[in-house]
Amino acid sequence: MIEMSHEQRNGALILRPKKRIDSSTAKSFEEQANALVDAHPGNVVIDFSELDYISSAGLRVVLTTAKRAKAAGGALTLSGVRDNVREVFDVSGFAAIFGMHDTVDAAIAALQK
Amino acid sequence: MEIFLDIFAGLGLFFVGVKLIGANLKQLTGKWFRGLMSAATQSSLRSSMLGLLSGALTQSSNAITFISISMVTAGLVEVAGVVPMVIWANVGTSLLVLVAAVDINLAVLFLLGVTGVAYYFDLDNKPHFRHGLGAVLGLSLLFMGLELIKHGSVPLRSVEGVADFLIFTASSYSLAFLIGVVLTMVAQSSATVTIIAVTMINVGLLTFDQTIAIVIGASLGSGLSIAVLTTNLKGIGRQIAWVQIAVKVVGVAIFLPVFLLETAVGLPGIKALVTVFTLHLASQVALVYLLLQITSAVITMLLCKPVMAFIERHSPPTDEELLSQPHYLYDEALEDAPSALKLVEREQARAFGYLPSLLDGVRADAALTMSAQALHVAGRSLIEQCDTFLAEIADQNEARDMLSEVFNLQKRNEILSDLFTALDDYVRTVSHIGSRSEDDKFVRLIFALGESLHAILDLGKDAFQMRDGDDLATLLDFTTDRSAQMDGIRRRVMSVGDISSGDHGVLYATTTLFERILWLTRRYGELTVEMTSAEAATA
Repeated sequence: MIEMSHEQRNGALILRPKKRIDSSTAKSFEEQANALVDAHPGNVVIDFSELDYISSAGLRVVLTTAKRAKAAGGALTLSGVRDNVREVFDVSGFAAIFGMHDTVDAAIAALQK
Repeated sequence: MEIFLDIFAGLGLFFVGVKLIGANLKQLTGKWFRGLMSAATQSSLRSSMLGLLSGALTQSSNAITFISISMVTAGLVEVAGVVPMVIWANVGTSLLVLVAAVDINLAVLFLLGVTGVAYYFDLDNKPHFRHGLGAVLGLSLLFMGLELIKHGSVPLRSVEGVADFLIFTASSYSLAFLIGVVLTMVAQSSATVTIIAVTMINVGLLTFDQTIAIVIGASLGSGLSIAVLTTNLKGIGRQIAWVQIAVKVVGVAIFLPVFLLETAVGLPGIKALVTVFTLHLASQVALVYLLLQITSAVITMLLCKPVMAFIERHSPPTDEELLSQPHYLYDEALEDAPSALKLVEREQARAFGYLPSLLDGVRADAALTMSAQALHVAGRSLIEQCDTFLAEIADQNEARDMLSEVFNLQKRNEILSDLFTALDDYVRTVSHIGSRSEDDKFVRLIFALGESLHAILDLGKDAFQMRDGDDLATLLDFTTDRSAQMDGIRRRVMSVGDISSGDHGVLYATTTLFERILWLTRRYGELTVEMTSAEAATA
């Protein structure tokens, strides 16, 4: 079970997963994220400022969340990625495709452009 | 000395003959035989008839067993389809034993003469005749060898030591039985050993009872030799081997006690039965061999259900075999080329789905449910089966649209094969790193490369298997050219300065392979889009 908090700011849904997203926590992250995106259709920011580890399973959930947000008329971007997981987002191409911002506010601003 | 050399030379000719027959018939029947097997194994009766025919042609039930194992493991036929064939191949091997029991000296000389003349006129250089002629030459040499053995064995009885040995062994059925077991394990054919025994009884070197003990022993020897040769097999391959072993064991379990009771107590049994048909000793032995094979085959067929249930329970299909079985390709689909092409595309997507799991051996966050080796072998097998299927579709259809789709799928097949190779290379390269601290920057980079590859291949799996347009578009976004990015990573890591020469090699190889795998995946995706667009335009 993943620890995750969420909030709404300037019309965007902010998801804040904590500690690790790996094969044992990815499913619960996906279920929670799906339910929240369905309940708050629109733009989504995933704030990784409290995340220490992400594996392929986590990257896949980011993709499914982005797909769901797009289907609901919104877009998804990333923020607050820590140095120790930054390489995964860079190498995989997620940083280039979804955008990676230092803060949640910068992420929301980018989505609103 | 001359006697022994006659027998030795005769055995030599005999073995050359057996080899020549097998080798030439295999060439003669290769593609035709495979087609015939696929068709025949659809029904139990046809499969049995094919077993009889192939047993008679190859004179080796072991050869048929191994051919069946390779065809089943290649996914060309089902286990249930080949079981009757494997069982009845034993009966087919009786043909040569029956022929050898009859005096065909003049026919053999004629056959050898005709073969020699055909060779003189270079018919062996003509593709249509080469292998047929080779098989006939083998048959002629085999019988010539038997004639030499007969000729050499006649004076053997009067040699003092040999006569004493024959008297000593005449009453020892267990010794004869053991000789049958051992000789068959060496010669790999109970029919071969029986034919030699028939020759020996013809010249009075063996008694009737000894020869029967040898024949029964030969059957057990044949079963044991299969058991020895298939110890490394698992799953379905072992199932077929066990069917053949069961046939041999059933035969020995019935014939040995009957023979012993008949010999010891005088109850009417096998010997009494064959005497009804013929008084010629050699023919009686050949009949015993035939009866042994028929009885074993019939009883095993009757017990087929429980025997197969037992075998399947104790040797279930391996992961590799299950993964290698095509889920979508079947011969009948070839009649409708557009559907057949769709099936190939789905089978290819299934093989693509094995790719992410190939990385599991070098990923910390992997469940390791399947061995990479099994996935690799199975993936390659599916690719080969798709290739064969596509070649057959191309052979049967000349429409331009159809051929362009075949070409598209053939290209995807090549890409799939390259992807399997590249991932294999990637895993081998990363394995060299060994265990190190997760905080090591170099380890973090390798981790990022592995997880990224896994996620992108997993996305590809979904895109191709679900035929999801959105996923396919996302996949193309993720697989754009990464050469500049990888070059940047190499420069950055190298600039740190404390990287070992070993790590330098790993860095270069992994980043290059990462680029290549993404490029191949993109190419596969582009070909998928091309075909989908062409289909939409046609519709």
